[in-house]
Amino acid sequence: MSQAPNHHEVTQLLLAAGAGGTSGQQAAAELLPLVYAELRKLAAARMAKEQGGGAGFTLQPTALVHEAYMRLVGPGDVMWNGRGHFFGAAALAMRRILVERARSRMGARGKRVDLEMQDLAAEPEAADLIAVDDALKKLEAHDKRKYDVVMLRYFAGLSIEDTAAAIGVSPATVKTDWTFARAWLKREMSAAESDSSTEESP
Amino acid sequence: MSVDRSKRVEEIFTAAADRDRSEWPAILDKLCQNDEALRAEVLGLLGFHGDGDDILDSKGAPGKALQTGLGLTGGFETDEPALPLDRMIGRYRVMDRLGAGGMGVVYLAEQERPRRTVALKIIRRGLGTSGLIRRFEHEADILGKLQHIGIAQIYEAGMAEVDMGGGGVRQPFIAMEYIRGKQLREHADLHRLDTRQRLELIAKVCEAVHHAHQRGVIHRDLKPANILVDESGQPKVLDFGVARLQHQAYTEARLTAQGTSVGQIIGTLPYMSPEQVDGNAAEVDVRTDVYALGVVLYQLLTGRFPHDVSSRSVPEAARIIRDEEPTKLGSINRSLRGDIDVITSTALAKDKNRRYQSAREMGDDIARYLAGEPIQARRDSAFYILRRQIRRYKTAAAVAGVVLISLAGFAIFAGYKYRVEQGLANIAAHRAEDLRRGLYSRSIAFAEASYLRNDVGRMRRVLDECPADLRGWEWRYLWKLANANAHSKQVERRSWGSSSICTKTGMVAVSTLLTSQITLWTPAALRGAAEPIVLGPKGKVAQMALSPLGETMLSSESDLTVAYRKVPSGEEIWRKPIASGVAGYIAFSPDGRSIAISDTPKLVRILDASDGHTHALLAGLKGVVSTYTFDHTGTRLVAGDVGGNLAIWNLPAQSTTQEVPALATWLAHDNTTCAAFSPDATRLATSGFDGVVRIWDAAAPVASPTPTPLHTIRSHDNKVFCIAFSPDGKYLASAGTEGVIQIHSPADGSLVQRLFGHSERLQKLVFFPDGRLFSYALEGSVRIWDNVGQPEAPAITTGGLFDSAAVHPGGKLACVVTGNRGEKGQGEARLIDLPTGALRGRIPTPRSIQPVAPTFSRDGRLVAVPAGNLVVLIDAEKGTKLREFQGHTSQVFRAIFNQDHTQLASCSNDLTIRVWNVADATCTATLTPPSKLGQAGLAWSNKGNRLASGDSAGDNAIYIWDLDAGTAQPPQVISNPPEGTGGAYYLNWSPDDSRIIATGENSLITIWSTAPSSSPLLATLAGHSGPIYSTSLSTDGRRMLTGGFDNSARLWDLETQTELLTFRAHKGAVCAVCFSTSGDRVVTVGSGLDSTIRLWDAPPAQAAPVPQDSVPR
Repeated sequence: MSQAPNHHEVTQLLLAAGAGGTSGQQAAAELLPLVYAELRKLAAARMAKEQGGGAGFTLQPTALVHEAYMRLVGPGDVMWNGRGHFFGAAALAMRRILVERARSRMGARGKRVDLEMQDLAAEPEAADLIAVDDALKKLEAHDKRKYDVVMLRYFAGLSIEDTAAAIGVSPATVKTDWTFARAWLKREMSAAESDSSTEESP
Repeated sequence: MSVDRSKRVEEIFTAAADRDRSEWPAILDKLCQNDEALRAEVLGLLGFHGDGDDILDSKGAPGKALQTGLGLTGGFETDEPALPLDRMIGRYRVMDRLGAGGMGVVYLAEQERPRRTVALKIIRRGLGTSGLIRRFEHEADILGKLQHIGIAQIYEAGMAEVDMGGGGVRQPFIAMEYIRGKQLREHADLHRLDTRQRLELIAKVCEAVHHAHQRGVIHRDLKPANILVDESGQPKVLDFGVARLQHQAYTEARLTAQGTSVGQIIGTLPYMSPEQVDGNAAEVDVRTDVYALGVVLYQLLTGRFPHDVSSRSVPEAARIIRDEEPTKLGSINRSLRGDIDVITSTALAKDKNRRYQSAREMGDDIARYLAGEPIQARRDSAFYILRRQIRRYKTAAAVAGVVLISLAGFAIFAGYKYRVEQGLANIAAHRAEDLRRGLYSRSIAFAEASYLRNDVGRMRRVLDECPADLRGWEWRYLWKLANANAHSKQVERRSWGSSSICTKTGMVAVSTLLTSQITLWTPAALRGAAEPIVLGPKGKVAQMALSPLGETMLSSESDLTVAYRKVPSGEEIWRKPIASGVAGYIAFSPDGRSIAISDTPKLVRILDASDGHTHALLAGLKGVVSTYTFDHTGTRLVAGDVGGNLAIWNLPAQSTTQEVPALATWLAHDNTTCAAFSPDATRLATSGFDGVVRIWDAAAPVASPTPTPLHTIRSHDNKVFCIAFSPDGKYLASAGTEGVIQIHSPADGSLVQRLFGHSERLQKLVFFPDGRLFSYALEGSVRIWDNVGQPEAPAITTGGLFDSAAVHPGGKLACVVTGNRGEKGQGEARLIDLPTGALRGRIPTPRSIQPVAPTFSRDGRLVAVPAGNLVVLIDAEKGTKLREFQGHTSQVFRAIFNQDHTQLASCSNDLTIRVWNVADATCTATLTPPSKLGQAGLAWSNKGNRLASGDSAGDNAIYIWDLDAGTAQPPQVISNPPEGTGGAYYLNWSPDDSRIIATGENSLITIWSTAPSSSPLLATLAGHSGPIYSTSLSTDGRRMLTGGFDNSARLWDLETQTELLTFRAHKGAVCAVCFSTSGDRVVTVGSGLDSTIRLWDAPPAQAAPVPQDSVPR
């Protein structure tokens, strides 16, 4: 069994990342592979169980991310902006895992997905995920803060308040960003869908 | 697309997204103006907002709904012949005729000196005595003094020769400011003002009206026709006091012109208050104008009058105004529901004591609404309105009954009479009761919100209004919170000055920067039993402090001296010049012999209290010194500067002229505000503008140039200004800008308690030797807290992470399951006594893959813990394992006892439900649900003959198994196609078994009818933002507790289907909740990172706590 990164190491990285500056960025960058590995492991364990048993518990990003947090950081006292960095990394890792899985399951063709709240707990359809992934790339270029909000809300399952604390803006801003970004993403996905359908039917 | 452009798109989108779809076209019209491309883009985005329905793309005209109201003075045309233009009246040259009003004609006129254009109102015809003329002129003088931007000024009023062509007649005239502008409603409609802008206008009018009221002038005739809006958008109230002037000038004419004065009345009637239509002149006061402002507001927002009296006779109109409630704004226009409705109806209250008591109050409430703050009018009127409602229902019922009876012959229907009346009264009462209960739950939520906003006063008022018969646990709990905290006393209105308290004598000293006085509040004065003592030093006081013994004080004064005085006489002992004003607080050593001040940047000066000579100068800081504190021996001092540095010194035994270097200087904050030694001086706490409190080993800075704090407290949202250790060293109090005092444990830096009560920035925190905490805040009040260290819901921990838990029905014992999640680890169930937290027993269990909840039997003696494929039965009293239930072939999700705990039912991932004999662990029945999913939810009916089970994931059904019918019988299926049940992890039967309350994965609470039905879903309660992991029903079935993944527990009123309270103390998912059978205690258990048990106790229903408002000694 592989050695899990110890709590102390991750905590140190989070504290460093929280402090900002060049070393902070460095620390945040080092965080990602650790979180990614842990999430992959957890996801694999869940999926194995899912295939083996009949319980039908689906892969839930939120639960995975929180479980990963507990395993990696533990119940210790980490300052909140450090936790923000963790969830930022976790959101990115979760997105990668889900998209990789989706791509392996089917071809890369997008279709529209509804990003409503109740869908967040469940694992989205593979095709939808890829469409979200594509649209997110555009959003990142268009408006980084809104991109961050979507990442934290959608892939790390943070609440409005926690997202606000993590990126250092007010909850009201997160709320309007989230509302706007969802419409924006849906529009992008819809445009992508109609683009691809026109390509198909000459 | 340019950055500006996409920003604009976003702004407009955000403005529209929150609003109803039907409002979008209007909003877009307004914000996009004529930019069609912009409009199209935003609309495109909005199309993807929400559920994506098409929206109407019509270009609605905002304000179109505003109708033209009743014609005002129309119909009453004066027969006054117009004055020829260019005619001089007094000092005024008539230029044009502006119009005719009730009692005269208004001309545009020009005044020679000062040269200005005026509106000249000539009041018609004769006048009585010279006495009346003098009064008229006197009043005109008063009116002339009303000078406000919102009031059309009266320049002059008097008598002048008016030559109508047939010889001169002396007539009264009023010359006033001429306003180039439109009438209020015309202006609003012309500029298509939105609701917000209309409210802003009225707020300005309120301000102007208030100005006149303060000078003793009541308008008496406020209406839109009397309010003009000038070109700059400033509303101007015309004819202030004119109604009365006219009355005075025209007593005689009024009597003679009764025929036409009806026309006058019709124009004004809709704006008249009940006291005015009653013709009771003595009742008319400023609140009469408030009523009229309410009518103007109502009309401006809806285009209608509160009471349509246009087609009524005058007596009938008066009756309507007196007795009928106007149509609520919200039912005319949904967007006007809520606060605007409350503001308007408060202004329109029939009883003037229920109205805003001044125009300013009304204007302030409008401003509060516009600023998004809670309005004052809501504070106490809700139950009052409801009581009115109920009275009306009862009257209506009685009247209807009488009508029915009179239609039929009494002889025949005599027997019916009673029943009809009773029936109608029942319907009315039933409806009224619904309203009352709904209002109660909202009041509870409002009281809680007030508490969290630190408005304990309002919280008490709201709670006090709640009807006694509806008050439940939540009321008693909130009432306890509202009254648990400090005794308070207002000692200064608002003070940016200095404050000090002597814990020995209990005396409080306060000085302000604005006045050159120091106020000494003795304990008797704080109790209200004596007057405070006021000292008047020579100069203004910058800083001052009482000595620890309380017999002397030092103050730093604006003439650059420090004065040492006797207390309370104020007699000066010595006075010394200083280099500049004292920057930080003044600190006394514990024995009172040394005083620390800083009158020079970077240096701390230690004065000898005996004669004021400088004992030592301490060097080592790098900027302006902001704080200093002595340790308990008075031999060491820590000081901080605005650069965030801290320094520590040993004080020299002998006076020295040499600068004393610091033992250590280190950077700790971005601006140090306060430092405090623990009572034994082993710990040092510091705070700063960075909002952080740090706890240091007091020896660490000397040992290392870059010390690491032992604990860093980041729970403050804003700057921290003061900190204090409790005398026993167990608590650290800190507070600042937020106005909420936080109590932490210095041992581990954890938050113990928050103390609510102050409304502004905290200035001073000091502990008394007996552990009470003294606080003083900028709003000018002192508070004394005797509950430090007794938080509302103390956290009970046992170490280890809780995966799941259950609570004894009496709330006296908890069973937590811990350590089950590891790959190979063994699990453990722990029994914990409440509230002591003592461990009653630890029972090892086989590991479980998913953490699943244990359950108590109804008598609390047994616990069933699902663990892997087994169920482990535990004796809760002894804390020992009794036996295991073996038979399931996959993980068990839930195991529950029947009512008399003779049987146990369990559901499992093996897709079966098994029923067991508790006594010997034999399986008596195996049920197979018609589902491909494992059953997660399970509940015995109260009668014990039925079992309900729910699917573990997503979207299927609840099954009800009739155990009397045999295991082969398929279950009754309850579902709500196509959505299904949304995952039913937890099921509860209502006490009469007629309903099942389900919760689970989709964050909703759903209530289902157990009777066969095509639409079994009775209600859905939303509130949690994630899956619900635990539930508990009160014994009477009226309240329900839920706990969830969102770290909150919530208390619900199942009757009104509303959330009453939210418990937010946990930092992890709430895995168990319990509403104790006694009804006095709520227990919540947090899992994961939190892993604490919290008890929320309310006093028993019979004990009624009494509020206390004075400071006892």
